[in-house]
Amino acid sequence: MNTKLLTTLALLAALSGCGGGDSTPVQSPPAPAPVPTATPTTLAYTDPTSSGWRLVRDAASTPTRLVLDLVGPAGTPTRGVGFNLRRGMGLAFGKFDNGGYAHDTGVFQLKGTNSNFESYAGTDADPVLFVSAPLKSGDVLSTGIFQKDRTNAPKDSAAPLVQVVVTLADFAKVDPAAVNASTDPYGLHVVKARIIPADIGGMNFILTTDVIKKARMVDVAVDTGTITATP
Amino acid sequence: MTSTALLIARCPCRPRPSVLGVALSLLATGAMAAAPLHAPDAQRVSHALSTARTSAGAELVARASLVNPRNATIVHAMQTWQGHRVWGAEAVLHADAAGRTRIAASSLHGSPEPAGSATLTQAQAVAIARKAMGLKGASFPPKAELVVFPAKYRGDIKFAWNPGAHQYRLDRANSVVGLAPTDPCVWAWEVELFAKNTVDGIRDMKYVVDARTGALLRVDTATQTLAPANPPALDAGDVPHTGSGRSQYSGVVPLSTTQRGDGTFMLVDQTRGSKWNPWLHDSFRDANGDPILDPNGNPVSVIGLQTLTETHEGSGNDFSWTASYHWFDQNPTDTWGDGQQFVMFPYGGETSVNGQTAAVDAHWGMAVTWDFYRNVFGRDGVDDQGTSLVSEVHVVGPFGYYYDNAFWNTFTMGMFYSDGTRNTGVDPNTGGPTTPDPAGFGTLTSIDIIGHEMTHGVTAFTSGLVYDGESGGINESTSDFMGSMVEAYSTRPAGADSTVPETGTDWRMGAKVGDTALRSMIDPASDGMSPNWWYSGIEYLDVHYSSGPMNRFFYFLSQGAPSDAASPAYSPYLPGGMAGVGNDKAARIWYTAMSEWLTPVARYADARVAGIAAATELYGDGSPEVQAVRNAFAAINVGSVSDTPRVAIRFSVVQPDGSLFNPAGDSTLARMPIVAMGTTVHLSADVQGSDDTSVTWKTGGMPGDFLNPGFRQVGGKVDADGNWTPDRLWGFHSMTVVSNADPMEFAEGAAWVIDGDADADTEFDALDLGAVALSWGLDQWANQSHSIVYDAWVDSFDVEAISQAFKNAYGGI
Repeated sequence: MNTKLLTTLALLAALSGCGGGDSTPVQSPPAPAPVPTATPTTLAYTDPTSSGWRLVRDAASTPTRLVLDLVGPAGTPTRGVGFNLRRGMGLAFGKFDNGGYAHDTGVFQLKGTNSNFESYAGTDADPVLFVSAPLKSGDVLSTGIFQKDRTNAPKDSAAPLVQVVVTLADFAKVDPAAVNASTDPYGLHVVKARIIPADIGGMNFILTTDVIKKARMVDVAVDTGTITATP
Repeated sequence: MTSTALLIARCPCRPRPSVLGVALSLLATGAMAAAPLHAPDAQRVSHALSTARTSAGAELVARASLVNPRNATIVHAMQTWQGHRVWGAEAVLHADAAGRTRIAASSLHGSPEPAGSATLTQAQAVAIARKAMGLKGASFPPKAELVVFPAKYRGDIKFAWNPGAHQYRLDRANSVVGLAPTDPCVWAWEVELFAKNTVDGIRDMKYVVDARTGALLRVDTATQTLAPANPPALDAGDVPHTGSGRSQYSGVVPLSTTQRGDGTFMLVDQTRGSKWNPWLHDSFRDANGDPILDPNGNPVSVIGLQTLTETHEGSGNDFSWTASYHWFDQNPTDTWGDGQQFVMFPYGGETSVNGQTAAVDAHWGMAVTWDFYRNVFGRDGVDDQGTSLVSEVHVVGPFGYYYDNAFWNTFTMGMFYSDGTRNTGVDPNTGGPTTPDPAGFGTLTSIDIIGHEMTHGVTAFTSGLVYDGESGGINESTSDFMGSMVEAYSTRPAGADSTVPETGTDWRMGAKVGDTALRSMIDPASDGMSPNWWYSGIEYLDVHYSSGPMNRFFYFLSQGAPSDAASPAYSPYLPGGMAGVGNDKAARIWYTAMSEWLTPVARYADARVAGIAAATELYGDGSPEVQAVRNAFAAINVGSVSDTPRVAIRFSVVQPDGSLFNPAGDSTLARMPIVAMGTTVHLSADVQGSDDTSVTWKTGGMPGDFLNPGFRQVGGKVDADGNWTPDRLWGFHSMTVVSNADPMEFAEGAAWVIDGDADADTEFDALDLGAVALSWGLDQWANQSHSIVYDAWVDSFDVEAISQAFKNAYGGI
């Protein structure tokens, strides 16, 4: 259960405890993030409290630019992760300095080896397999980052693996009234996520059926926190 | 034609007894052979190099040189850096009799200094090449050379014609994908690996390996080599003789043979060639396997043109077959062949009178072509050094089947001919008969084919045209043209040896070996595969098809072009037609151009410059011959008759220089967008030479146009702005863009449509990259549905393509 739901239930419980009476706390669906009536100018992000796969606020965040890190369960090695992040209408996906919609934190960069040829002590990091862009609908950011060298060990997921940026929508172009009227305008949800697990079977340059099965990605659930947009 | 098909099993024949004597040294020095013609003066070559070094500011070393009929010394010079060859960098030097030197053509590199130092060892480079080649069996000792490699020659995506699928497909084994070096020049190892065994077949590959990072920079198929065999030794009692042969395609022909001391005859022509053949020379050994030496202590070899055959034997309930060599000797009569197609089934007929027939055509054709180059152009053999040549007949391809091909091999200085699939052969798996293929060929030893193959050797020792892209098409066309001229030359009247006859060729390559010719030089497009004129995108075709426009140029130059639009020879690019200059002048113009003006990387535009320069040198500025060259090139849409620039149109570069699919700039895929099914890509074209840059887009090739038959010509939709949404079909989808300013100018290209949904969840997103990530650096993927090109063979290319398709579909980086 994510932090947002817990907060809502706690609030309802507190309200039902006021003013006496015999009313029973109502289990209701989690309320969407509060919708400001004035055009918001700042964002705040409350991390999810879970310890599994989650998006957490990075220290580089500012009131107008949220930098969110994807982290996984400590002690869980993986070889890559991909996810689709849906935003509410009041939000936008930002870019990093290099123009990308996601940032490679370097966990899957591997120095000194390349599976295309024999091990060679190079000085440059091998690039990873890494893409990021909003899909055609515009409200879903898809990003994936995957280790290239299969003969290398998987990496622990506890460190930030990839970063994304969320900002407020450009209200000069997006109608604030339409935003307010939309469903969950400041919501952020990971609608699909998969990892390449650590165990991909014995590595061979000729794949076997067994290796193929292990090479399939594994679905995971990624928790997101609550975004608060304030004028 | 060239072929990579060779035997996969052979055993050496029994060694011949060796006979030594003073006479052998005479043979070795060529006392009984023809004297070399027009050997370049070493001092003049040296002076030309010295002058050019100063002028160009570059280190130069001679690769090949010749003296032309006007007594000018022509030097094909390689550029070096601190003694190391600079790959692809050459200059063609012309030094006249007075010693004045000019650089006639150049692909020299302005700043060849490589970055850093070569830290990769030769052994490491060889290991990288071995891994890339994927050899399973033993290989011969590798050759490796440390070179300076300009990053612009970095390898690329290559296509190969897939006859089963009837389309061009990605040639994975010979493609190079990945980031290019950021430095203009880098140290690299060029490694050549040759293997000949029962698990790999015959393979000969060249790899260029970055000497700092170990990355593969280039992959080329090298010429094929063969295991040597013991040739017959000659002694003083073995004298030249003239025999007679019943050929399959040219009637009764004279044969230059050798009569041995015991009175028998063998197919060795001692009257042509002054140097030993390198393949045979290196294998001339006695019964103990030791080199046979002349009295001076030098290895000896027979000098002269020689013809031999493969022989095949099969046996066993679980049929297996072997092959060996046989030298055509011990003929008691010096009459050879029966004039009939070789009976291929069952094995065993190669040394019979019927088996000799192919040798008659090959041996006679080799001599005719030798004389053609010697008497018409003053050229002493393929390499202009008098090196002896070898012809081998009855060659089978890999896995033991006869195949419809013949080829030249520079390493062996030899030609190799198979017997085709038109007639019943031996199935190497069962020992039973094969089913004849009516579309196949008979023995591929007609005179035009022989001339074609030997001309590949001449090209290798002159321009060195790279056998890929436009230069490869020019290479092929040069062989088709000269093969046709040799065909005409073979019909010359007695005594008329120094000119090419104006009749005697039908301009149809290989017309005698099958029901239909391999190629028509009059109407190349009649084969359904070759274009009749040049266009941007021709470089995507196989070199045997991209040769089409150049073939037509030769026909026009020699025979002219009609103004009748109904004629198969008509060209809409020269509707008024033109007069030709005849075979002899056309041959001289092109021999001069190819040997004196072309660099290895020449394109059609360069061929035009070379042709005009050659005609000018031979016949004078403004002469009818020079105009004929202009006219003939204009007729194939290369330049105009008056040098007025025409509209030029190309597909735009859609992948930035240095990106994954355009690592070296102007790479094959640079102008091909990679599109995932269900997405739309915006196409664009560059128009030059007109203020009107508007274009018209069409899917597929132009109507009635055979220019891109290999690509799927499926629909999809393209709007007037060039936004194209492909159908849900894998592969390369051709399209055409036409200039509205000049609708005669067009470009053909393709988009590479892939199935981006590698994880099969009906959505194409970044997660699909993870589903194929495991393919990176690997060889094989068994689940075809996960392949972006619906192929069981999935590897790093698929991974790269999905990345690119994602970015093309959604942007991002």
